[in-house]
Amino acid sequence: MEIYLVKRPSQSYKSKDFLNHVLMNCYENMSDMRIITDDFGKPFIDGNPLHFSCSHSYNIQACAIDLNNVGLDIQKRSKLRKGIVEHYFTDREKDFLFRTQLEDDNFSIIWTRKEALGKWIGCGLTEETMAKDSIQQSMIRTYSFNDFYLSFCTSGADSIDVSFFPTNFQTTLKEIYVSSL
Amino acid sequence: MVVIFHKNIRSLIKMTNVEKLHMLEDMLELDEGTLNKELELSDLDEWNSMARLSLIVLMDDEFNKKLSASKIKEFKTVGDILNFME
Repeated sequence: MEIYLVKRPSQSYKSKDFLNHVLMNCYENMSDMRIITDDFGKPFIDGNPLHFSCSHSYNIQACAIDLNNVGLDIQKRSKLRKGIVEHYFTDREKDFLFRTQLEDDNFSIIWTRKEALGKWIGCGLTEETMAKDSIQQSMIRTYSFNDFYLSFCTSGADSIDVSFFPTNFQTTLKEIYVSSL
Repeated sequence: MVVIFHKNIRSLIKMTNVEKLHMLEDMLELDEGTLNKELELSDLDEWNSMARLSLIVLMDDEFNKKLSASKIKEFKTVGDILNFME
């Protein structure tokens, strides 16, 4: 799987610009690509087997591209939202959340895992996908860098290759192992 | 005397737009005075999927109102959210 991390050059640089940049600069013969959406709103490239999933948070945009279905989410560390926890987190997720005093970090970790799972399923965050437990999901992997958390869900990728844009934006992704007690 | 307790007392109290804006700013972790009625949600970095879900929870818990994902898509400005809070 290839993951592209981009420090957004300006606020007017939108997700669509980012996706075009990634696909057209990194893959040949993509100049005539057509991105369409399925019935649930999940985007894909018409007539092309590549799957992709994009997300952004503040000035960072991320995109995962793979031959297998993939869902990706990125989130800058956010304060714990009690209402969301009470309404949507499973018992395992609450257990993980309060295991350490890093509740904001743990909340952001679980959030990205839930969203990555929802994107992988294809319908995003719905009542149904929010109710799914994200802890015991071996298909989801989570990484941290700076103040950000990034999770992706896929059934196929053994290794990931991360590219950064612009080239002076370099950071190290640290994998976070999430499990229940 | 019969006393009726309502699940969400806030839903019975008429809030001013300023109070509603403060509530949204608190929800979005923004400084007070950042939001105004005319602000386009698409121009707000903090208006992401977490914010949308937080708004659904806020409406349910504080205003006793059900907010659907399709209704949220209709919101273009902060003012549209304020109007829904009526």
